[in-house]
Amino acid sequence: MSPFLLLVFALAASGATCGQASTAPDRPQAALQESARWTPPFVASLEGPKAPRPGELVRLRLTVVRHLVDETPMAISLSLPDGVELAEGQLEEKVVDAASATLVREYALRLGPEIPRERVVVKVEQEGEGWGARAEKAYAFGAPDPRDLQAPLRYGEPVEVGGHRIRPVKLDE
Amino acid sequence: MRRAWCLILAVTYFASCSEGREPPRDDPACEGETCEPCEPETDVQLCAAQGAFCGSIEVVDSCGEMRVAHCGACQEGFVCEKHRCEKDPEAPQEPGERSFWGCRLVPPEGQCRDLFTLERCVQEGEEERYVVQRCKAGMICTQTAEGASCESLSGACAPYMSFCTSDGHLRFCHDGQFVDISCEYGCTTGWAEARCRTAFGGTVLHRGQVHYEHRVFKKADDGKWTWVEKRPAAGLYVLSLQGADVFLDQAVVGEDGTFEVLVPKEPTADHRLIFMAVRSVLGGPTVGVVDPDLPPGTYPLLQTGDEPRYWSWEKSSHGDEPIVITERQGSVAVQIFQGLRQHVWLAALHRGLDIPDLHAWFGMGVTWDCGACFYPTSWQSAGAAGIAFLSSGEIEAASNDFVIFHESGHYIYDTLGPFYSEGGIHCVGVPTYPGQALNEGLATWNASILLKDPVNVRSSFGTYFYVDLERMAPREYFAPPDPRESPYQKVNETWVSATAWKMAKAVRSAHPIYAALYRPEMRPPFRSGYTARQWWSVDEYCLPQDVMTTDVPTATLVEMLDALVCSGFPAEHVRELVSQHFPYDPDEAVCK
Repeated sequence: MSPFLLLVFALAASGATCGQASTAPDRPQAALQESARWTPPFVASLEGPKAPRPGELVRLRLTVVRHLVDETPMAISLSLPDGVELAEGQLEEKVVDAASATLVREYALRLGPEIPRERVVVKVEQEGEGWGARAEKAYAFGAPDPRDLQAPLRYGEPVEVGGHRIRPVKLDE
Repeated sequence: MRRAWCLILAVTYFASCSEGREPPRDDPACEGETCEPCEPETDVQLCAAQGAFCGSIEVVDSCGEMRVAHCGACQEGFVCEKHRCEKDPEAPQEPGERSFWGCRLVPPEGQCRDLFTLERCVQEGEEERYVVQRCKAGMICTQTAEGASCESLSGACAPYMSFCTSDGHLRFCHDGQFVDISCEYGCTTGWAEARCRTAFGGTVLHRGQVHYEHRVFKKADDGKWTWVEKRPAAGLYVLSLQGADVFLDQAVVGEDGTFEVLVPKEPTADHRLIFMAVRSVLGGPTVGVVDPDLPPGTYPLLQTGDEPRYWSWEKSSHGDEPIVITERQGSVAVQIFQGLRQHVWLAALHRGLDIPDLHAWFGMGVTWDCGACFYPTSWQSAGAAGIAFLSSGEIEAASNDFVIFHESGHYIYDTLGPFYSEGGIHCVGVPTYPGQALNEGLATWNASILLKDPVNVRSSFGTYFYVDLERMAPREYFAPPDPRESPYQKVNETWVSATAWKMAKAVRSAHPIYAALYRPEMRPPFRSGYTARQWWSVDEYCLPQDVMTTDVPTATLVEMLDALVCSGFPAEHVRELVSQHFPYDPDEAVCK
């Protein structure tokens, strides 16, 4: 009989689990089922000085570690905030390299009289047959990275619901 | 803890049933000479008393006057039918209901997607349109050879099962039979049970909407890889509370994001609506998302803070504007909750309600050292006994449906199939031991099936990327096994995912593969005699180190293929998709 035909009977016979101590199966402790490590085709990193000063020549170093080394073109582009000039390096380039496991690019930026509020953003992109990848790395001239999700939540008064103590997150602005 | 909670539910349940027969009420009618002048009800009160949510009604008020009360209009996409807002069948389909892959995975006669959801393909000219239909309250999806349909639960009465019927009655299971109670003030659905609403003086029925920010991962034509959409926060448990503990009403958010609860007639400072990410399925398995109560950081697996609790949100006012739970307010927990519900409903379709609970653990900025992982044993913290699922707190992992559905896929494997026992760190594109390859491969396949998308978008180490199960690209991730080697050779889990995807596509349904998981061939003793390997570290090439061979029998691809062939899956598809890469001949399947 089709398993789907059995559904109604299964529901009827299930004896809804509320009366049981736990629905968790009594099984031996098992190995953890860890999520697969989905290694990206490449991983990019961008390094620069931690405390640059106005008017300085700032050197940035882009490193692209490639886990998928083939002839798929890789586009690297740089966007600069107002008041910053590119003294060395290319704003855009297309790399076709079926041999190198690591690519390194160095850039020199001339800062204006003030430290920019905007960040330098480097994009690395590949579009293959049925796959694609993009990394976007930023340099903030020494400012800390914004971590939006770690903004503290605002909680309301705790409340007991069915024996469970909860602390609701406040939605009011 | 669970037993105590059930007891509370039972007491509440029967108390509420008796309340349902004779709900207490204020009597605002004026009698006698000392009474003040008669104060009639407002339109909202009259509408609520009649269970009317839209249109106009004619009714005699408490002062004896015949009144025409205006109960309001329905939101866009809904029409007023018998004073209830019903989805407008003429309204344009929601974007999510159109799917290129939908029809390729649904047989012409339609099928149950899960316990409550039916999916069909409708022929429109030369094109097929994928249509999803949610069964009404008190109905479940059942499937026969002729197709799928929503049928009444009347034949499946189980203790503690209760629900509100679409005409507002309370129906509950008593002594093996469903009993209907007419609720004077409407029926409400709670965390685990339905009940007749109690009418409190000074309250009105409020119809609200709650949505959440759902993060989508998809490679869009305009170059975007991820964005946020507002979606209905379906299934959240809603409480209307006055002060710290005066319960006014409860409800469950509908699939369209709407809910109806009693609120104070005049807004008060101490009234709040509370939304909780927890729900029992027809009094059976519980689905919930738990906040571990930890500050941002990385922690060893299973570590929690002092007060882990179900995720919940509160709103102190109840205006007409839809409520939106944002990412900064923890909407990822709602997104995870949506995924968990879908998986428990899927498991219930196959196995009924006697299945394990499913809980996810998510904390803002909290990461456990396993990344995202599934932990199959009971975890008692927060009273959340049952199978737990952990997710990394980093937004791009925790809010990625492919990750959520992959991990929940392990719940499906454990619930329908054999208990999983082989494991350790593993990497996509690196062949792994056959038990793990099967389980992990099917978890990824499950994500693509339920999301109706073979293109898995991931992000890790700051890189967004996608791989395509349909096109098996990039090829380095999908390297097939060697047909000349042993059937218990290491296998690339992504090849398993892609092969299962193509098998489902070949028969226009994923259900044969889900159903094969609980065939006898997938129960020990296994044909192969293969036993699980376990390891805790890998080298720089992701090859397992210090591998321990256990004596735990473990299913492999061989048993899974036996189960498929023995259940009638066409052998020619197995031959075409599997045998050229893997040493398996469907003509030699061993059936139990």
